[in-house]
Amino acid sequence: MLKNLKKNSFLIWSLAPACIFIIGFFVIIAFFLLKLSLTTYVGGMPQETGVISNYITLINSSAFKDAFWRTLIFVLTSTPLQLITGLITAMLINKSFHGRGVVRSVLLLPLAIPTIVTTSILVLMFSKGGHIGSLLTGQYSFFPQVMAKEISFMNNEAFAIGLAIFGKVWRDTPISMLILLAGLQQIPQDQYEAAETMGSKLVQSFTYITLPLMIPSIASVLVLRSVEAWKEFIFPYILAPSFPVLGVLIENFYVQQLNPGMSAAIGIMLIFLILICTWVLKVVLEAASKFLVKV
Amino acid sequence: MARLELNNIQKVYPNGFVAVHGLDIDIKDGEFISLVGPSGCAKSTTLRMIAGLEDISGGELKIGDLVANDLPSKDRGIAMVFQSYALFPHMSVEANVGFGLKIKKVPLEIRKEKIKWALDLVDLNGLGDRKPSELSGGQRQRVALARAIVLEPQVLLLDEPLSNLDAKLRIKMRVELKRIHKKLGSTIVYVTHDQSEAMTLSDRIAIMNAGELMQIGTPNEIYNSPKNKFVAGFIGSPSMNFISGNIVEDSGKISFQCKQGKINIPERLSEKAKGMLNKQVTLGVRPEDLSISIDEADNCLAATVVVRETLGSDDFLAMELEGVKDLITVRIQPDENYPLDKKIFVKMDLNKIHLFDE
Repeated sequence: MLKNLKKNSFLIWSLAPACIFIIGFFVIIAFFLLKLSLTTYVGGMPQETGVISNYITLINSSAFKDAFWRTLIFVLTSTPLQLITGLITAMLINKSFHGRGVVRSVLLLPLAIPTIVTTSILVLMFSKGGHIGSLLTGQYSFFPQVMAKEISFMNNEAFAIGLAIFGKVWRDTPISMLILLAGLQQIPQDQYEAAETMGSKLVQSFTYITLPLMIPSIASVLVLRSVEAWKEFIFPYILAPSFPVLGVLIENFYVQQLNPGMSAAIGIMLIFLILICTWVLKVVLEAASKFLVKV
Repeated sequence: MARLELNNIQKVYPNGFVAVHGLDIDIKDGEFISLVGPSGCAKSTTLRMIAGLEDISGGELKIGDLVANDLPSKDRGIAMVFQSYALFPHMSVEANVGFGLKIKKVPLEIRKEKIKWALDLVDLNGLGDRKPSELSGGQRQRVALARAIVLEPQVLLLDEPLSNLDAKLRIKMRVELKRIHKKLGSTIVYVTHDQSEAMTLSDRIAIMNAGELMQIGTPNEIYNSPKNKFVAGFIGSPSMNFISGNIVEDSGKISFQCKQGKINIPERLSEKAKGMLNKQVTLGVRPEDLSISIDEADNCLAATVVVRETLGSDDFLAMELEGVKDLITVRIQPDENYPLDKKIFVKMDLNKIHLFDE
């Protein structure tokens, strides 16, 4: 035993930081999160521990249900949108053309802009009295009046959540683009040429060659982006404050209602939702990839 | 199966570089023709132009009765096997072979029959479910071949299909290719830089250099009557020996004069030699057309044996002609013995010598 330990001491030492990281940042935190979720709070003070009443309250609360549906719509819209925009931009800069470097830099720019700046710009444009409202009501001389009364974009649920989705997709497309570009560059050109000689059109080559060979990259984008979307906070918090998603609801309970127990319960439920979503994605992608490579 | 005509085919790149200078090749229906040449001679470019993967800058390409210059690849009736095989790694062998049929929307039942037929033809039955990564190099090559054959193309294009295989497998696959060609009778254009592959497989060989056609003919014609020094040096292993000298006329007799001696020009070459009188020329002779003589005689050149290479069936002597640094190669029988580093004489079979302009 001691001999084995000595023999593998380098391996043990090199793995130690990873083990400490997992224990410190995952096991311990998950344990305390679970414990917190089983504790009730009144007026910011802990009451009972080891009870599931937080979960029961949440399931019966309309605020939670609304937040869940909003989050689900956020995930189901922003994730595929990020995949599509990422794929289009990746395919664009995968082609060789004059000025490709400049286009690539421009496409990466949204990542470099701090989120608070992005959201502030959107607020300036779409809030009551903002530029878009003023433009449409004819307050700028260069644009004709389209409507008599200003729409309050950020007080309209569909608009507000749509704006948060737009901001999120715009800001995070470069991440999807980079992952998908790496996948695209792995596909040798002669695969397309072979398909071309066999009569394959562009759409068929995309369906039968690009897509199945990109499944690992597509899976990475879908999993990473959907996880991000489930726990999204900043875009809906600033752009749709009246229509909280689950991430915003956590903040509401923790900061405004001084009820960390409920926040932790939502956190735990989010973890399970993310696990279920990832499993569904795996099943769907496996089925898609089998379908695409059939005889 | 179809006839393939390349009439003055040219390839000029946007930067002005001329890759192919007016190529004229007429390939008969069912013929196996090889495009051979060193790296960069534009043989693959030519094949890609036939396949429709490269634009043709000038000239006319006819496949059957159809002018194919501007036809998309899929309408040319060709199928191509790539040097890298270009198999789809995510598809099974069957799906790879059936890909072209699926694209052409051939019904599944017929597709499956044809896949089976093609896999039988290349001796791969039973491996249809495997992925390309689970196959050996030779098996992958066969899948690529089956994928092309299954489309029953008018012209089959093969781009160095054996170059990624080891020497033993290459020779085996050569025989396989010949067998398949015999069975299908298809028109095949085969690109290779390996002259021995071209010699063994082809009905005719087209030798290219720097985008130009050097010579086209049957393997025997190319081997025995090379048109120029490039063709002579490229075909044959070991390659032809070249000796520099002058053509001189002495009392009506024409001979080749070099530092090491004098060689009489045979009747067969006298007309050609007369046109080269007093000019610097190259005499070419293949290793098997040279023999060794211990004593000096007519049409002999003095030389010393530097190295003996033993191959088993034949041995080769690398010899240094007097006053020349370049070595010449002589084929001898394994039981012949000659002393190393001693002056002996190399005798030529005058019926087999060639004369080339310098």
